[in-house]
Amino acid sequence: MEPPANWGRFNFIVERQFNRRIKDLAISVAAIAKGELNHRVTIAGADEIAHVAKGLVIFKENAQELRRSNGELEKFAYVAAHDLRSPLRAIQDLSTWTLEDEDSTLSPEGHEFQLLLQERVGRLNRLLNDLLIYARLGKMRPGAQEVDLAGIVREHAQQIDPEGRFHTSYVGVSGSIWARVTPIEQSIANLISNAVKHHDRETGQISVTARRTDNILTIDVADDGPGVPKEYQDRVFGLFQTLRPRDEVEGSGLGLAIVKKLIETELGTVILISDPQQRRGTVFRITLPMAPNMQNDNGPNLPSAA
Amino acid sequence: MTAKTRPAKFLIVDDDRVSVMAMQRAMRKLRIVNETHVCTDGRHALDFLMAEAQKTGDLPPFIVTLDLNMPRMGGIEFLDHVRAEPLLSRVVVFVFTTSDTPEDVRGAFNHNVAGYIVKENPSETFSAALDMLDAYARIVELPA
Repeated sequence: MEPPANWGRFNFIVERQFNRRIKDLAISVAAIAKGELNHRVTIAGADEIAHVAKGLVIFKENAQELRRSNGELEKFAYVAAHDLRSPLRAIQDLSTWTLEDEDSTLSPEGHEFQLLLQERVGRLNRLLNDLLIYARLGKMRPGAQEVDLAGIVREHAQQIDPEGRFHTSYVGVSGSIWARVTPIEQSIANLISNAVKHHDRETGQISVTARRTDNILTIDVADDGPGVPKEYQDRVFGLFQTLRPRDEVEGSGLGLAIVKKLIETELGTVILISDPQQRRGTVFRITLPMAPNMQNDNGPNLPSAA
Repeated sequence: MTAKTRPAKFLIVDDDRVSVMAMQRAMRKLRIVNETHVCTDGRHALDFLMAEAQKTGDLPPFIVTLDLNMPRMGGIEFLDHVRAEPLLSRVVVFVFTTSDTPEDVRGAFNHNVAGYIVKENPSETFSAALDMLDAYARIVELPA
């Protein structure tokens, strides 16, 4: 059977309409990807293009909801930082004034209670600080820059353990790598601090090792402390989790949670390797994807033209 | 001292009684004995200053320490009103703040504040802020 005489023209119109709808959809996808969440998506017909457009509307609504709840979290963090802190400031002040003005009438026990009260205020303040850091993680993500791993390890080991009780060493990737510095630096600092805090001996060894295979950067922070028993290993990355009483080890219980969130925001992973029944020590292993075009250590990776 | 200056008055604007006490302690430490008033929010402070200005026709030099987060009218809004009112043009404002509110402090500096006093350390930062005000340092009467 011969097609109708105007078949070619009809085909042409359908194809044009089809192309126009695809083009509209592509514009919508691009707008939403750019974060223009008020963009209107046109849904016409009942074919596959309409299905895709409906799917896109759902993605857009999810993104709107996510943006709203992120905004609320940000507000909550602000409240935590300011509104919770001012009464705390007042408690601290009142206790300080009690010690300044009334100490001669306080019993030694009363004096001791005031000091304990101030310590707890300090603890709550640190908790609020760390909570704020945790809530704000990933909000600001500046671009990649030159990162000197050996320098970061040296600097933070010195800051965390100024008396040099622990010997902190670094081996591996030398020179600078091209990466976002904050997640790497803050994670290394928190892991060194964690190793120092939870060590059960007067002195010890902390070794940081970094290696690079293909597009993966692996950083190990190993200590020779008591290790983490298997049954607690799942808990260490949780919010507010500590394995020892706060009176023995001052900590907010957020240090490792911060590391986990930082590294996962970069699409990396962090795991703990420890088996105290076999041997002492804990290794925290960070694995981070490195974009191939960001490779910049020791010049371009070209075969030398010898 | 040659120039005859009028003694400055202080106005503490804060809704937290303990913050007010902290401010008063800091002033005692700095041996500031000038007349001091307390208002509990921006609206209250604005009404008080306007009444003072209209009473004398010429407002005596006022040094205001201002909390930012208050009921009814907060610190920034208070500053907006003060800067828009010619009668209050000579009022000197220090923001009394926790040290971790850089955004707030930046907002306040856009409103021409003279400095800020940090809640963690009020007497030192208050003294430093007053030192920056040459003219006012003379107005503040310290007992010999």
